[in-house]
Amino acid sequence: VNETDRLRDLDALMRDTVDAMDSMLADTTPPPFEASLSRRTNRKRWAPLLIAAGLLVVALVAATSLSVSDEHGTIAGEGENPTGVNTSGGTVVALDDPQEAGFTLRAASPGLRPDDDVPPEATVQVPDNGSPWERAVTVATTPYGPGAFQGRVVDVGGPEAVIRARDSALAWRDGDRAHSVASTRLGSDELIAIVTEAVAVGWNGSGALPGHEIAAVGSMLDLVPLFEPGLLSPDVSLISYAHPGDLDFVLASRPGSYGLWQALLVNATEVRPIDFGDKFDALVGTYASRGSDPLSVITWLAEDSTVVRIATHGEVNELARLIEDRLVNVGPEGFNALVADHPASGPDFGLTGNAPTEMAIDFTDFDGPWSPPPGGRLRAEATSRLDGTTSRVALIEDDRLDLFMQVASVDAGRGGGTSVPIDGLTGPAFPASSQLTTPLETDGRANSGVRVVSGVIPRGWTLTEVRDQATGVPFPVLDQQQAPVDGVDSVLVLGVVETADADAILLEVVLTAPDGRSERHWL
Amino acid sequence: VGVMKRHEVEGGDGTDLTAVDVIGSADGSFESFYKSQYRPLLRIALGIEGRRDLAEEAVQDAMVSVHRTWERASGYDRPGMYARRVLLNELISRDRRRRREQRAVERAGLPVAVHYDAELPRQDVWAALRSLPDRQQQAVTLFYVEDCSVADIAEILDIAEPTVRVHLHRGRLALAEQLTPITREERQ
Repeated sequence: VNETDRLRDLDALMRDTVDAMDSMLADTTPPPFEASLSRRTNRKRWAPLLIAAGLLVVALVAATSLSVSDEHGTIAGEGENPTGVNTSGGTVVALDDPQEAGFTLRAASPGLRPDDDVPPEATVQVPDNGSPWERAVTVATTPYGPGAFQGRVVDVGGPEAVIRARDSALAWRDGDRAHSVASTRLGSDELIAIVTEAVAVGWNGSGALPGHEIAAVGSMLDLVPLFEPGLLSPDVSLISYAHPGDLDFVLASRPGSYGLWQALLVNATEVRPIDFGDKFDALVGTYASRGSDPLSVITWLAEDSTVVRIATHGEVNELARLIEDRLVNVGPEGFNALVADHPASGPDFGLTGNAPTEMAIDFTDFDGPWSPPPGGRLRAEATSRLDGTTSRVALIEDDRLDLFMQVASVDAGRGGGTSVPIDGLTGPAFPASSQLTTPLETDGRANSGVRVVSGVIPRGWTLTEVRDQATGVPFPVLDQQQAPVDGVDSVLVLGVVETADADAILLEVVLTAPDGRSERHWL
Repeated sequence: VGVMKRHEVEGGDGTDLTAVDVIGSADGSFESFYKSQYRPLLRIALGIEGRRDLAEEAVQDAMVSVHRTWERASGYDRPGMYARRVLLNELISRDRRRRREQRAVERAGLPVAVHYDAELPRQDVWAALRSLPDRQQQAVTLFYVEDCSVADIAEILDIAEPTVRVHLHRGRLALAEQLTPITREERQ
């Protein structure tokens, strides 16, 4: 098939595809346009999480069946003592000898960075007239901005208001703030009624909504149904385990209370007791999630009011049977010590979904030779040492996973790293910096405000400018290292830039060729 | 470049429109502009986002931006061009925010998956389009969804026409590479 034929086929295919889309949109009429306003706001580090809320809410709504069973204790419909399950006596546990059980330690995290902005407070509120939990709503107030304010415009009696992503969260503007009321259980009419009443009485965002009482208080990341419930909140320590049989799970622990523990279960589609090896009583909550499989969370309230969670997308009963006899009591302090001692522990540690879990970066030998992992071939590596901070990027080719970069930065024994898949090194679809990425932000200690930009770029090009996309404020390139990539006319580049503005989460990067041409990229 | 039919679209007031010919406002008002441009913009956003709800939000957000600058934008010869640029930038920003948010999820070691709209036909084709680099994706989308000329695409993306041709050529070849075997099999 020659090129002309292929393009002709493509034109025909695209024509049919666009026609099919037009048929789908045949009855589309523009919704009312009532929004106005300045959209810019103080962008906080957690703002992208807010933006993501819509994604999850869609999935929640799509998958929520509200099929609670009378046979099991459920949160819904059982008043203030929703389950009747006494979880006292449970302890904080860790998995003893995970390799023996077939698990691989994937990552550990002590929670959000200590210098992060504190996420806004959120509350779970229930009607003050009975059957509270099945009508619980999550309430938060955030700075006004696009993340908090996207969706279909609705009338709540005055202020600009939107329902986000298929009606599971309603937000309305109040000066430079946005209030939101979310529920995976209430319909849009009910949410509108709640908000309309709040607006009518001039509710200012603090305290209980009219006709409601506050059942639990926590950080927004804990309580707003973003993605994996509560696992991203500031106080959560977690250890992640990989399993070849789809039983990957996260073991998480955080200080809490009875009310918070209950509130974390509010957005579950089903809650039931689970027999956990006769050690103690626990509940398992099922949450619709963004993946195809629901998230199951085994949870209990342990000693010292610590909330313990075991979260998996795998078959939760099978996981429970596999690990129940291998869990050892470590207590909250012991768990935190395990997290801190994990070789790959870091507040910003991340692994992409395609990254090899067995190839964790060895931080203990970071300054020594960096051997490629088993089965992998080191194509290039570049290292920067700057004011006690060592950053390194390695381009690795692996028979199973093709190309990926491992990027890491450490100082004083702490650091973070990530693996980034690489699509290719050359070819027609290879703009100068298509592989540039900012996979790492350091933890705010000795190297506070330093960010690594790395990627594969054509030989001869250099990283010349980095600036904040939103404000245009330039960030000095403190160091730049390049290393040749064998076999291709490209180089691996590692740039260390100073980002004094911690809110600068989107970067603009300029690469310049020897002849003066430049390319601008947005990361 | 290939020959495509111009897609007839219908404005919110029921008027038949040809998208690339009427990317403006009949009476100079934002309301008229919004009604005539909503659906054409939604087609672009849907192709790139793959989900109607997210596409609708992106269009609303882009329209809010245009509305905010309407005094200036309404003075352009074809303000619809400007709206398309705003929308495409918005879509790129959303995609980048989403990727950062996904990294946050990955930090917990949990798998990330994004759902696309089951009602949108030929998801394989749109997924292939989304796999292109940003500029190629934008150029190819405008070419096929909007039936834009190279000159129109260059104006919307604010880049030179030769650059548009390069993006179009590379993007279409990459798409053909991925998709035309499907077509041939289907035809057989």
